Amino acid sequence: MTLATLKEGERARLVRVSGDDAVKHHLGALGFVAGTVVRVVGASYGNLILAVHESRIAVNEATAQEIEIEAV
Amino acid sequence: MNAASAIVLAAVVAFAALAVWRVMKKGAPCECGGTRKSCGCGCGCCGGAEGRDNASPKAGQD
Amino acid sequence: MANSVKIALAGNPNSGKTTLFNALTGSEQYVGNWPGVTVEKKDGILAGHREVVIQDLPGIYSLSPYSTEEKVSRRFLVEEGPDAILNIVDGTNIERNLYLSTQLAELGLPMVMAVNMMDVVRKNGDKIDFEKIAKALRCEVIGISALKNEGGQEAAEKAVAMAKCGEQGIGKREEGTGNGERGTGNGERRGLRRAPEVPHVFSGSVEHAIAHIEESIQGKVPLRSIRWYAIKVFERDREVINRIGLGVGEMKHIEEHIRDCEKELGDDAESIITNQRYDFIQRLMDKSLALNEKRKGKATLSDRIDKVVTHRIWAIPIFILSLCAMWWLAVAENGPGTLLTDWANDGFLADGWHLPFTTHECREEGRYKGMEFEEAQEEFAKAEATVQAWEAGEKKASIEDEETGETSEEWDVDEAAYNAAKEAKEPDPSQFGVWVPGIGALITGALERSGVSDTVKSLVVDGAWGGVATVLGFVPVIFIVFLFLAFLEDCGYMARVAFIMDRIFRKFGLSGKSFIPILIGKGCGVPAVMATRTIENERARRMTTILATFIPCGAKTVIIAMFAALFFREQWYVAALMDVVGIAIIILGGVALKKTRLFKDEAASFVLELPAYHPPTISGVWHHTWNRLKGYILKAGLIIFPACVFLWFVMHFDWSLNLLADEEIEKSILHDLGSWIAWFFEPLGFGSWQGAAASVSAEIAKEQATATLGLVAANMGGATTGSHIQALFGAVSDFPKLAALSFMVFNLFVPPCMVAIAVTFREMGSQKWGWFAVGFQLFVGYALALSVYRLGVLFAGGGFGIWTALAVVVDLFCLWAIFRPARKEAAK
Repeated sequence: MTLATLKEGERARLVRVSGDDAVKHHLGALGFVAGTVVRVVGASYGNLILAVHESRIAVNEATAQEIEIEAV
Repeated sequence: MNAASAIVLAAVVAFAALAVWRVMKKGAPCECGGTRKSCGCGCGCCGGAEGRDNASPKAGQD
Repeated sequence: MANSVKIALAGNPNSGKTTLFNALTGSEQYVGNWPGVTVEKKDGILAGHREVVIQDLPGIYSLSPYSTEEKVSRRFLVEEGPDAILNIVDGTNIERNLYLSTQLAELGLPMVMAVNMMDVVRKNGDKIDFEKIAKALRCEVIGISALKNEGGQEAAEKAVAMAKCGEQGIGKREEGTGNGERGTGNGERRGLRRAPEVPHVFSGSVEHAIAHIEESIQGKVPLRSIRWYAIKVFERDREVINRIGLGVGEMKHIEEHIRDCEKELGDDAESIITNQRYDFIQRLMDKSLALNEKRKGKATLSDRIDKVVTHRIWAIPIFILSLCAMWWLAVAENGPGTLLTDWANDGFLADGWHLPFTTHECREEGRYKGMEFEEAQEEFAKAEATVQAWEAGEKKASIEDEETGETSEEWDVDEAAYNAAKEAKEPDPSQFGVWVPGIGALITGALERSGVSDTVKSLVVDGAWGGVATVLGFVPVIFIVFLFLAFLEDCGYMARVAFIMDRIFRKFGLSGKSFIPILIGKGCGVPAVMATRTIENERARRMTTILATFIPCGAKTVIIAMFAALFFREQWYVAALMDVVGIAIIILGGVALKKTRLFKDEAASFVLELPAYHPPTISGVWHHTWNRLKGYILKAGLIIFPACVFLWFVMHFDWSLNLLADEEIEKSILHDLGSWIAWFFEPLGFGSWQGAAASVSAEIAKEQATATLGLVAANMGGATTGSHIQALFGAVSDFPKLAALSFMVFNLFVPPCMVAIAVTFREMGSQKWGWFAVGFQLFVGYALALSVYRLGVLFAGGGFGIWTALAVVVDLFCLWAIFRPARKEAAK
């Protein structure tokens, strides 16, 4: 299951981030690490606004599809 | 042409030449938000809007 | 400077670093570029400490080797070695911010952590235990609020103090030798023989591997930062490994350790490090961060605003609405922008103006007694008209409405009326209130009193001052636009715009990252083009470079301002339309370009932090606005001024260098030059030497077009520069408003000014691509102006001609280029 499947208001726990090194690392630095719980604050046309810790990170669909999650 | 005219004319031309020289030497100023020029790009700004740090959005790394 | 202390200011983007930097250094800043890159380099002197230099590093999330900002920062930190680090951390977002802090702490430099936004933290009811954090990260931790100017200076001075101690190699405290003992958060260097106390963040096996690596690289790297280096080697950081110069054999040995860890923990080295850092931070936060229970799970104000602002349906209308609000304020008939611009153009820079609230009726005896100034001016105009009519043998006199040109009053004249009218003198404005002479009047007066000849007077007043004044007159409009943009940027809305635009761009197969340069382009096209460097994909980058300058920049805004004032006073939305058209061209142009073999845009990733909304600070907004405005005013003095002097000369001399009278302008050099190329503009509706000259001069600087128009239209009807230009377009076309619109559109959407073109060529890297960009832009601008004029004329009843046919053909071609089916491989 990837982040792309989440709807507004849903939460999930991150499992792993795939994709290209630079993106992976950037997401990692922003807090997208295994075990972190994120919540979808807004969603439209595939783009998501996620609550990660106290920050808000916007990702597009292509990026969301590379982020594996599990139910929380 | 009388003296006053000659002086004024000379002044105008001198200032204009000075302005052109300064632009050639130091680059042109522009309205991009930079504070001082030093980037040698022919324009007085470079490097993105000054508020890059906390205001303008920073796109993700690819 | 000898003995100077260097403090590095490091922190996440949106952590308030810029605010703090400005507060610490005041106006003593120097902004430039890190060598070889477009990343901004800012340093300044700490207020009150002349020997201390604060080096502002770019906002970064980490010290990885993946982005230019990070590379530049870490190079500075490990190679140039500041004497201390001032790490600014956003207290309302502390976990994520600490990710960088752990890395900074590993450098082994004296460090002070300034936890910012404490005012918000307190308001939220959260609590942070500074001591625990200080202990864990081996640094000083101080709470500050840069916005409220609390604690920033103290934090900086603390860093300075620590730097100075470290400098002398003396430990600040006697207890705690850093030899396995938990130090009390002082993190200083202890001399050269022992590695300093840095936090140990990782698990057993990883720490084990790191220790091995430290052994291997000892002697190759500065002792104080050995841990940082070791961790980077563990992460297989290419840049660091090369820098250290580790041999293949040594690396092989290290590789074994790394691989053991990877196998044991089931992940790659980099991810292990990242994960464990956050684990450490989590454990630390469990101990030192207490969030207000009542806030848990409740949507923040920012979230609620975002629900509306990024709404799938309302987001775009809201964005367009905000653009409209900006333009309404700037150019609407009754808005502040027009009010101030009119005052500037007609009063302050020209003849003069009355101080507000001081106007009164004329008290002097005479024909104007009891009248207000405007009434008196009308009375005088009527008298002049009477005199003119009688002397021309007419029976009736009339005056025209300045704006519509229609007759507004007509009356009979006879000898008695004529005699009375002859006596009339122009009303003296100082009898109607406190009159402040305008700069134009002052200059004219001074020149006349010095006995300067008419020709030279014309050079100064009509040429030099006239041109510069035209451009300066629109400062109020530019000011409002820049102010509005700065406001939106500072409060955080612009990040949302980039996010919203990504959606739209994606729908058309483009990347949202291409939108960032466009936002920057609203100020100036040069940094916009350079900002395209952040786009990795070469084709996407090229495409964005070509498209970035279609959004009206500051200089183009002047053109919009002038035309809005002269031709579209009641239709202020035409101004807003120009922005919308710019964005539309970018999207549609991108769509069309993508369908050619030359461009392709992969589904790129898009990751963007949306900072919490916060009310913009006055000083922040002012700084942004003033910087841009300053550039604009400087430009007027340095570029517009000499250009106008040059134009005046080529307008007043013929090819044999004879001085010409005003009416002989048709013999001038400029007239001939303009006429030679006027044919090019014929289909666009302004095919005269004046229109040609103005458009070409716009390549020096876009706003020069307005100044040039002012100069070349000087002999046309009317009393003000504005009415001259209106008369010019009236003479050039039967549909002056359409011709004006066409002129504006042309100059807005053809290739940008010379400087921006030069940067385009440089960024493209090849002549071929540079010319392609210029060609494409010229085509677009021409096609748009052509369509606007010819189709406009057609609908206005002007008939169908050969140029109308051309417009239709060109439009059909464009529609085809945009809507034709994409080649299979370009499709998702």
